[in-house]
Amino acid sequence: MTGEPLETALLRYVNQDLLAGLGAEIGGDDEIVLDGTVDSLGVARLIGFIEAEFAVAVPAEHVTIENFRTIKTLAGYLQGRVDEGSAS
Amino acid sequence: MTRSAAMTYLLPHLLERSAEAQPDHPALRFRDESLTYSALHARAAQLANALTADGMEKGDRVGILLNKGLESAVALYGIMLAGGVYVPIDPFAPPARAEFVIRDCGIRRLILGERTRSTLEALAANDVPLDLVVGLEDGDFPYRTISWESVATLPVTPPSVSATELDLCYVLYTSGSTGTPKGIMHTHRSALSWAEVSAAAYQLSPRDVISNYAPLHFDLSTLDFFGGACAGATTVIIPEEHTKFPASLAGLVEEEQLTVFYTVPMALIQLAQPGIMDGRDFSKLRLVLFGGEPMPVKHLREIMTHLPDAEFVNVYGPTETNGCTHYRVTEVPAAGSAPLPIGRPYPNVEALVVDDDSKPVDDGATGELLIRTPTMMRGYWGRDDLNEGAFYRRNQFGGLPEVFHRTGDLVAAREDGTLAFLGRRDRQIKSRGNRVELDEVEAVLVGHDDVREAAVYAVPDVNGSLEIQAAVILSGTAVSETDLLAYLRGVLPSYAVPGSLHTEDAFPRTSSGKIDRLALQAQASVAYASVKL
Repeated sequence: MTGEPLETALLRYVNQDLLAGLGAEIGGDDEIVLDGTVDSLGVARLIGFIEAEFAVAVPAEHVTIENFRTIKTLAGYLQGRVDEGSAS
Repeated sequence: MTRSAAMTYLLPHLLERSAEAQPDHPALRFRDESLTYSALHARAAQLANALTADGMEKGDRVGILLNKGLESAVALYGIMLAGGVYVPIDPFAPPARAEFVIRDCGIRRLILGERTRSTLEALAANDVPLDLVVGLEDGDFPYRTISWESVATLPVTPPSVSATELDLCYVLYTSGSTGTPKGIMHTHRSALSWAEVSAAAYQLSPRDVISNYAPLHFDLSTLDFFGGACAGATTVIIPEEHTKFPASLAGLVEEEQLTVFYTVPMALIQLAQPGIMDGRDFSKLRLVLFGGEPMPVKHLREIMTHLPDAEFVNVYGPTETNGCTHYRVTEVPAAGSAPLPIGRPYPNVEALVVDDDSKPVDDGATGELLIRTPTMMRGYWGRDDLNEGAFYRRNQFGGLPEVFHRTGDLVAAREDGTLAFLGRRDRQIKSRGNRVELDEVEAVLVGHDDVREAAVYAVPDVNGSLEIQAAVILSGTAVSETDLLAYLRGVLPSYAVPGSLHTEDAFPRTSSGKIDRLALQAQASVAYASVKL
């Protein structure tokens, strides 16, 4: 990891890769699943990015609306996972 | 003219009947809101009065461009109570698709939500002609508008209409991402028949809490709403985002205490992933219905271990006919990947299996399934070019011919009399001179322990022939693409083995949750052309 805040890295991936060419750009507090900005394929890609980039496994039972509601909530969830990983 | 209380001939009469019989019973729930039968009927009648006051006439098509919610159910009943034909438009589709449906179907009135306002802006920018938009405060639009608040001041007695059961009640557009969408027309009679057949087949009652998983433009939704209203049950509209998050969906099924869950195989495959259903109470769930595409047996086995007390039913039927056959799963073989049968016809449905000359095949032989049923569509909207081929007319007894729908699906009768689904007729291709069922190759791939889902499609190669390609989603990472191809070579004839195979994290899906094979094929064709030409 580069030390870059999780939220920044996630936002960059979503805006530059996931939503590339769709003319949409989101911020950390924007709803990304309620309004369909990110579809089910997008959720799967986002998880693939997280697992590859941060070396954190995202178990299926953690893939919830609460965790993925905004980039900020997702970063909060991931920070918890990273802390858990480094504590064990 | 007043209608006899016992006479039900229009689809919205189901709502009227339940509103009289049990006015205070919940008809709908969505998040923390609900509507009783009398409230739903009153709101639908108000909408019908708004439409009639605007000059709407019997048979006019009205678009529903709404995200899921109580208003979407109010909209479909309101439109029909005014004698109109409802046409759902996928709220997540690009504006160009909404424009296509509106122009193709001659829609002049639209029911809108706040979240679909941007689509309306795109429509207005393209000068799409509309008369009235319901659900909008006055805005900068070249259309008449009426807000839900204004609709709520109108009378709660529906207008009198002259519609008959032979008139159209809805048009559902096919949902593929490529090709020209087709509008499938249903009449009050065909829709009402299906509501009654499904309510009876599954013994739906006021005690039932039925899911509405499918979007309105996907025909599974008609059982959820109209089968439910026929029985006086409660329908729980599942918010769209839950379909992307299986853990949240499992939570909703538990919290809403669903008794009947009607969904697509994808949802059940996702729910069966480790950790999703553990520790939850699904004891209220008595019936799991699934349809839309084949359910791999190994995933069915998994989900059934989580729901040991529920009955599982494979529902088969194209949107053109509604449900035709169903298979009540009594036991699933412990091993193997033989496809799940589609079972037997519902009462009042005739099924024929015919060869290429439309002659009945011998028992056990493969042929195309033809269906004759009162739940059958009227035809495709404005597509006389397709309507001729969609039907088969049999003059057996003189007089008017019996009309069957050509499903385009290949089936064969099994020894126990149930039908086995063997794939789409148009997914049958020639590979090196041999006939290959792409759906069969797919089923074999999904039969591999490490494959969660598979899509197989044919891509034109430089010789003008077809190359079979496969994409898979793995359940683990234990298997390589080379190993999978080796596995296929051991099971399939060489001409049916894909020329290439790759893994994906997820598949593109149609808005109804089916694997979008045409999109995969289109991507592959582009890639193929750029690499090999």
